[in-house]
Amino acid sequence: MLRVAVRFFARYREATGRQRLEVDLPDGGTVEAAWAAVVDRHPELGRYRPFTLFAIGNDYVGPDHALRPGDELCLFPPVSGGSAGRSRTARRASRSDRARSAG
Amino acid sequence: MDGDIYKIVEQPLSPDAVAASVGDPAAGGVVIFSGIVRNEKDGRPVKYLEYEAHAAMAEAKMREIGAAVRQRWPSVKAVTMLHRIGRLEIGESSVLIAVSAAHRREAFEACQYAIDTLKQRVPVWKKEHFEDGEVWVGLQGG
Repeated sequence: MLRVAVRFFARYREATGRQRLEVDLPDGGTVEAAWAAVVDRHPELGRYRPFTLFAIGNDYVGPDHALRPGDELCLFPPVSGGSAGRSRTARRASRSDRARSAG
Repeated sequence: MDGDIYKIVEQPLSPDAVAASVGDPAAGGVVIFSGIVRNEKDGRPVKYLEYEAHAAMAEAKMREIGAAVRQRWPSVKAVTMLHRIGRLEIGESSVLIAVSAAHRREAFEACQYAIDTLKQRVPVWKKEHFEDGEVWVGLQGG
């Protein structure tokens, strides 16, 4: 069995009312499996899956990334740093980030 | 590039301080981008903004952007990237990027690349507070 910590940011932190959650996965569990376990506990996040970015440590990871014991998986809404940004900028960014992590 | 600065901060940002931070005797130009909190979003008056970051990862990603800048524009002398978090009022600066280079063209190009890439990759989120509500930017379609 594999226990990983999950951290929530911004909208996800507010939607779940928590900053962290621990989930248990079968050995070799992936980021996608962790997301499923999180949504099981917090169904309100389910609709955000197409927009979500995943990170471990200081790097983005893709949904197929295999988790290891002690990993801390961060769940990000689309990023929107800088200022005067439009929402479509953030959506475009989230697509390109996912493309990168898938590659 | 040891002198480059990449930080998430909670204090007000100073353009003078970032300009000084990229000073170099071989630099012929310094370009500074300052992102400012605007008083409206699509015609709706904004009261103030709140920024949140994954600070460690944000600083790491800004450092990666700085490394990419130096690779692409070798005449760049120094880079500073600061992003402020917390509550920001209208007119305050949320992000400051300063680039010094031997010539102005490289400084302009590198600074534009740095802010454009920051907005795509650096884990910072912004919540807009209006008179009648609040919204996290980036998921309006969700």
